[in-house]
Amino acid sequence: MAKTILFVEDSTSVRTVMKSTLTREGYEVIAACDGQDALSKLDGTKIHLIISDVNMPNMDGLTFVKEARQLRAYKFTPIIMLTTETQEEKMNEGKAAGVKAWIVKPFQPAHLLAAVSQLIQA
Amino acid sequence: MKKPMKFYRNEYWLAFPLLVSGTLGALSSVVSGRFATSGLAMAVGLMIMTVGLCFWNRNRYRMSLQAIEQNLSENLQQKNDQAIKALQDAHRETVLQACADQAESDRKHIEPLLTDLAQRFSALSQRLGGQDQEQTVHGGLSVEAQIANLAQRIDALISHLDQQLTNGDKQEQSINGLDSLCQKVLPIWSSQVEMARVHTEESITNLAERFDALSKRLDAAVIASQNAVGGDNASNGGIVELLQDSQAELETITKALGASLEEKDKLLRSIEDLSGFTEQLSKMAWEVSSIASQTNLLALNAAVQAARAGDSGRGFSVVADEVRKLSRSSGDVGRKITETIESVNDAIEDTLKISRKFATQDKQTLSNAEQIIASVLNRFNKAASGLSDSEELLRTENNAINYEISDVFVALQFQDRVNQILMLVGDDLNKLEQHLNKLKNEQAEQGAAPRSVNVEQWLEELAMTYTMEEQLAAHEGAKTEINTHQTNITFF
Repeated sequence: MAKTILFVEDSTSVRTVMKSTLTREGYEVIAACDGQDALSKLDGTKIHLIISDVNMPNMDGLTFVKEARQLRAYKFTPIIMLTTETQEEKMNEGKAAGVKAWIVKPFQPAHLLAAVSQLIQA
Repeated sequence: MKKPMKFYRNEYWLAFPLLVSGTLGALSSVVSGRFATSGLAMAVGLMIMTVGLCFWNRNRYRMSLQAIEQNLSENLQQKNDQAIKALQDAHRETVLQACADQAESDRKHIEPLLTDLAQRFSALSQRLGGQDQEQTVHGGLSVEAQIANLAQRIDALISHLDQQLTNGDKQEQSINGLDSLCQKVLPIWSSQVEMARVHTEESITNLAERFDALSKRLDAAVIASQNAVGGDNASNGGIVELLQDSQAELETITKALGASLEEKDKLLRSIEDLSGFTEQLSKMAWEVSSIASQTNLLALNAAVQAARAGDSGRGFSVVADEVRKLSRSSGDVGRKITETIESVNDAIEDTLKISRKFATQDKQTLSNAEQIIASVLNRFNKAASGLSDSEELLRTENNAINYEISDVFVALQFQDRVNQILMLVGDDLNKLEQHLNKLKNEQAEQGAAPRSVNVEQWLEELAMTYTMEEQLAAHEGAKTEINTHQTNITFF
């Protein structure tokens, strides 16, 4: 059965590219354009992995991650942050919120896929 | 000094002591002849004298050379020193002259400037309400007295002063102008930046979608070609399988044809066997004929015997006659049978001939068909292997293109970075506009309130909003290089 990934990203181009890359690898992709949109999609559906940007309008990625951790169904869902952010404190904030990997843009789709399969297996 | 020098220059001087000793020798031989001294002692004395003379000469030569050398070098040194001194003196004088001239012209140039400057200072300090008392005092002093003090300030102050003096009374209005210019231009800049951002986002999203579509179509093409050549693992076989099926089917047809040919052969053999029966038949017909002729002969004998018997044999002669008729007709039948058999034989022979001809033709046709089928299948096989090769090529090309496209995807992610950078610049422009508006309002409320922007704080706040290292680097004026091929992944 195909694994489901929630992909939260405000940039349409990155969303398009990643959605197609992940779909081609055989994952089900649910796309959201910001933290609020993503939260509304966490309705109990089984999600195997969350990939989220950090800097987004309405609700930023770290707030979204913290909110998602409050929901029982998504308490232990592995999370990858995909961002341009390189500040140490933001990374630590993410780590504290239970983020499993921090990928700095720009990234090679292949590397992201490797990280995804590594975390989705675990 | 000159004479020995010329002499000593060559090697002939070595002969000089010999010459002297020779003369002395001659003299001494005369003396020894006169005074009867021992020749040997005389010779020894002469030798000593010669050696002594030789050394004396050499030393003298060396000493005189040294003396000449010393003399010459002293002379040269002296002349050189004199020449240098003369040159130096001349140069110093020119330089001094030039310096003096330069100093003079500089002084002439600077004097009016400084006077002017002093006047400006004085005027300015009056205008600024006597804040620059010091300068005003200096302005009143003589130009020479100001030089030391003013020279240090000139560079720093002159441009500032010029600007202030030129602007003069318009100072207040020009800053006001800047304010309103900023207020008007900032929203424009901001909207331009936003427009650029939106355009970039739209076109890059468009590009991303196109690349995605391209990649998908390529994948579809590869899969289609793969299925065409090798099958899709489901019900549909590929061209290779199709070829194998066709080959098998065509083989069954040729086999069936071969089987029917064998049947025909059997038929031919049966017909040939038939011709064997006809021989037996003709033999039997011949036997019938011979029986008929013998019966005829017998009937003839019976008729002769009946005639001999006279009247009593009359009935018998009728019988013998009938028998002869019968034998004749059976002879006819036998002949007819033979004829019929011959014509049957001919027919069989003809049939065999035609059948054999057909059989040969059929065999030829079959072998032709086999050859044609083989060559067609061969060609199909070649075409299929060509297709398979091109499918392989297509697959490798697809892999290469996918790799390229993944690189393109990396490049496309820069839109996100550019977006964030531009958004930040736009936000800062908006912030500046709002700040200026606020200042203007405050000024309107409180009259001529101090209007200032804390530049350091502003920059600090701007720096705090950055999310990327290169933004900070650019903020600090450094050139940034972006690594596009290394993904920075941190696992927690």
